[in-house]
Amino acid sequence: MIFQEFNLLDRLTVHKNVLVGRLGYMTSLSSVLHRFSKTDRALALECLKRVGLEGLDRRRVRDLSGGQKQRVAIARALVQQAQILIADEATANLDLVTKREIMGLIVDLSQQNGLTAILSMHDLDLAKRYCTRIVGLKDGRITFDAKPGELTDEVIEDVLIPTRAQGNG
Amino acid sequence: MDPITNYSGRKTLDGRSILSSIFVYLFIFLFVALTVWSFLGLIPDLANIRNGSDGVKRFVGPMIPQSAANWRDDFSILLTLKIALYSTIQMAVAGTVVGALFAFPASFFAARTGIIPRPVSGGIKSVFNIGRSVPTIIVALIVVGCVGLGDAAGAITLALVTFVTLTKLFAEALETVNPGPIEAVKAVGGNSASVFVYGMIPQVFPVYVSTALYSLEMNLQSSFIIGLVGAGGLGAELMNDVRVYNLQAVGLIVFIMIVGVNLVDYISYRLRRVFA
Repeated sequence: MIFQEFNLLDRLTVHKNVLVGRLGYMTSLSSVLHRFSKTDRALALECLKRVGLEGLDRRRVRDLSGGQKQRVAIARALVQQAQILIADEATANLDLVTKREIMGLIVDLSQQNGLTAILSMHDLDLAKRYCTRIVGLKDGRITFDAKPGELTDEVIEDVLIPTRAQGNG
Repeated sequence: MDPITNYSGRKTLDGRSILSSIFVYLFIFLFVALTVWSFLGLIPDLANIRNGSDGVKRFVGPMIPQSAANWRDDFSILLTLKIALYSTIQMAVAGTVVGALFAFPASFFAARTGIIPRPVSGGIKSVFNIGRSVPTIIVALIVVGCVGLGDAAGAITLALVTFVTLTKLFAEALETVNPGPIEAVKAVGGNSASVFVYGMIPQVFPVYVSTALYSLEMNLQSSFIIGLVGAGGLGAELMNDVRVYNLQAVGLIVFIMIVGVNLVDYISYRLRRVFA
């Protein structure tokens, strides 16, 4: 899972942050002692390569840009070798250009590696541009579940704007 | 002036509620009354103090080396004070290290992080708060009473005081930790131990180190003071010298203290910048 605030350990290195993704596969003892296996370390470097951060493994996360941080977070998710990637407002804290880069990366990863990506977001333009299926929520219910092309301006008002805000402008 | 309505809907003159204004004026009046009462209480004593300038010449004068002979004396005294200086440093370092080492695990039990049930950690924290309110010099007196005079008493006092203070500060650092990384560790499948090692410790470690260094600094100053009640080091030397009116030695010791404190202050500042 990746987050809006990245949720990385700023003081530690990129490599260490990605390795954190393997914690679910390790024994308590190894985790507490920071003993990551050779295969795990290699896997982490491989994932860093796939997100385009090769060579940055020794840097401290706090020295990276927002886009780079989110890539580290994605690498941390990839290293779990799961079939689903969940993104919780992953682009909300990024600038326009970086938003598109990250969305592009997620699309590439899902196409190349068969990864299913589920993203929660409030940026409709971004969603329509990159996603293959959009599910809309309003007042706690699913009101829309179709291809991006069908989310036209007329539909948006009914489908996404909460009832109390309708008619206010 | 027309009354205006403030954010909680009450009528006010300048944005503040009338009740709150009354409290402010009452407080100012009480404070002025308290100040006047304090000075009135001091006046009888003020009439009794003697002329200070004479005292400066007789008391502070001999502390400052005036002649070449004074400087030579100072040097020989300096050599004999070496031992006392070392024990002051030893007390401070040993006390801080022991106190910090024990405070590290103790802080987990006093922190309101949910790992320990809230009522339990709250209770433990209260115990530490009570301990903190005992002034160091009283602790020193009690320890000296129990184990006798000397350096060991000083080290034990500082270890106790450091332990209590650092546990509270470390616990507070644990409580103000950012929940983001913790959520991330849980999201990748980490158990409680991993949450602790990878979510909390990396965030609090810089605070721990800089707080421990700061308390080393404080302990050095404290070890001077507790020496006055017999807990060893330069403070004890100072007390002896004051009693026999060896003012030259007193001046030298005070000078060493000033230099030492400033040196440690600077080193601690630089080290803290590296870690935090």
